[in-house]
Amino acid sequence: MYKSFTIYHFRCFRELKLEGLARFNLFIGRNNVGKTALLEALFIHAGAYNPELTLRVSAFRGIEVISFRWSGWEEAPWEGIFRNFDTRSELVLEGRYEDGKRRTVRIRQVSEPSELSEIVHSVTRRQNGGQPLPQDTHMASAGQPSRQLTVTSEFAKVLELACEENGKISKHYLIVTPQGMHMTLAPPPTFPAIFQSARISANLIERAERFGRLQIEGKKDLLLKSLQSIEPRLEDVAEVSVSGQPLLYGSLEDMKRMLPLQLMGEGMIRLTDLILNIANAPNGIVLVDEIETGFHYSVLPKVWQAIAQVAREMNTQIFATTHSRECLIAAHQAFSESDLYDFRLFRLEFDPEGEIRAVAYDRELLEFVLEQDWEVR
Amino acid sequence: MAQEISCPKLVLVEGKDDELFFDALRQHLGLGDIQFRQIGGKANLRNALRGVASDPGFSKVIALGIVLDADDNPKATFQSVCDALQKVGLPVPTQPMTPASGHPRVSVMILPNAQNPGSLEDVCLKAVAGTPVMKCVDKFFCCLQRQGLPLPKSLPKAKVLAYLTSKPEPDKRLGESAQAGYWDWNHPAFGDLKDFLRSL
Repeated sequence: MYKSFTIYHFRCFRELKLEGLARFNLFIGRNNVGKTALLEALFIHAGAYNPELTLRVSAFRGIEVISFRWSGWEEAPWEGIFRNFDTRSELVLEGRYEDGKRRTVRIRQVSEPSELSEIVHSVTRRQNGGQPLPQDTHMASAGQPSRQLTVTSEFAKVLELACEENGKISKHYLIVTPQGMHMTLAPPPTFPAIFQSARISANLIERAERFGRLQIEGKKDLLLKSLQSIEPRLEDVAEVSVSGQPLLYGSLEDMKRMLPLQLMGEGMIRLTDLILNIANAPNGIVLVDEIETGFHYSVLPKVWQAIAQVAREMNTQIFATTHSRECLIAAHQAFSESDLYDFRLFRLEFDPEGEIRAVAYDRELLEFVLEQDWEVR
Repeated sequence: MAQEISCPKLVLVEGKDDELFFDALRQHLGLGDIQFRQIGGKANLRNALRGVASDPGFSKVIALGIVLDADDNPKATFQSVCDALQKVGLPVPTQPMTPASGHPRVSVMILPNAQNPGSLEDVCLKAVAGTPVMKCVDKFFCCLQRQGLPLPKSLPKAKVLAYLTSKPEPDKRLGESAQAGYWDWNHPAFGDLKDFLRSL
């Protein structure tokens, strides 16, 4: 579990320090102040060794297809993760965990010609047993077929991710060449991280797989009880294959047939994804953008209670964003009523110099400002 | 709608009555850039200062005023304000009515003044002392005492309420009465209050 997290030179952040992280962390703040970027930074950091995550975070913003029109002078697809698109500076993400251990992830675009050449040839030789690179069609640019070119460093762009943990540094590379995009084999991360976007729902297969894992581990009730907290008539949830597509169905006490959860409202499917994500990230983290989306304000305390119960059982840490005052009041209310107030509110805001900083609210302070009806967002 | 900081000068006061009272005085003085916030009692001062310093609008505040009743001990009250300011990391003034420079500038006013115990009600009573209505009010409380009846916990507050019952709308509390124009702002008793608001 993260206790502190620091970001340098990532997207809109020059330097952002978060101290005193709790199991449940809610981030508020005006538009374009970096709330989603913060979740992205955590996602990349949690991935530890995987430079491809620098591209995947764009998909969470709805940029699903990485289109890359090759020319030696085009910007690389990862440049947006660097502050002001400035790839000359290193991007650093530092996390400290509750056991006192640290992980530092340093990401840089390699630009020095001799280093570039060494990395490209080392990686391509390793991947191809000394043979030239094959076409990597899945990442090749649309409308411009990959060309069979000998890979030379002058045509390559390289992103290096160095992960330092327990005194060891491991380096991994993402390389763009005229033939496409290539990555050194990265080991799996040491703990799971799941990003729940505000815009994109989990796909049907992913959702069914997560539900399946829950069933295998005999924890289906975690989902059922959570959903029952906002839909008391729900009696059961089951996976059903319809036209080859796996769908989650629910049965309501006053209906003879089952219904797809989607037909029970956006809140039901949103809570389903939340609970499945948390339950599938044991000892890991779940990042939720705009957590209030799809929920009526009156059920928000129950949603937080459900999240709290499952996250504690699975030892999952939650990082979520919201624009909703009702949502943060509901969170404060839900955690105040629970045995443990393991919740922290942070507001991201611009300081007088125009840099982004975090303002933390502990229980006592949040209680006071909410009682006085003072604005916190 | 939750309250936002909307003015560059912010004054923290103890309760709703104080907020309405000082806002009426602000209007009388024609000062448009001062906002008042009640903190729900003196005991909440430290949380209130933390809340203000954490407020999304705090960076816009150039002057912060704090107005508290002295109650039994004006010196201890001022010291408690200084301690709270220090803990939150805000500028600490050396004495009441003298601003501490910094961001924001911080001024503290203890009522009725820095030397005497009391409250805002004492300032108001001073402004109406000797009037025919107050002679009746004083007689009323003397009468209670002569009858052996227990007097209110705060005699100044009770006297202000009794005074206000003589007004055309007799059910107003102190803050509302100020909004209704029942107090003579030109009386010298209100001089320090006016100086304080003007000095922010």
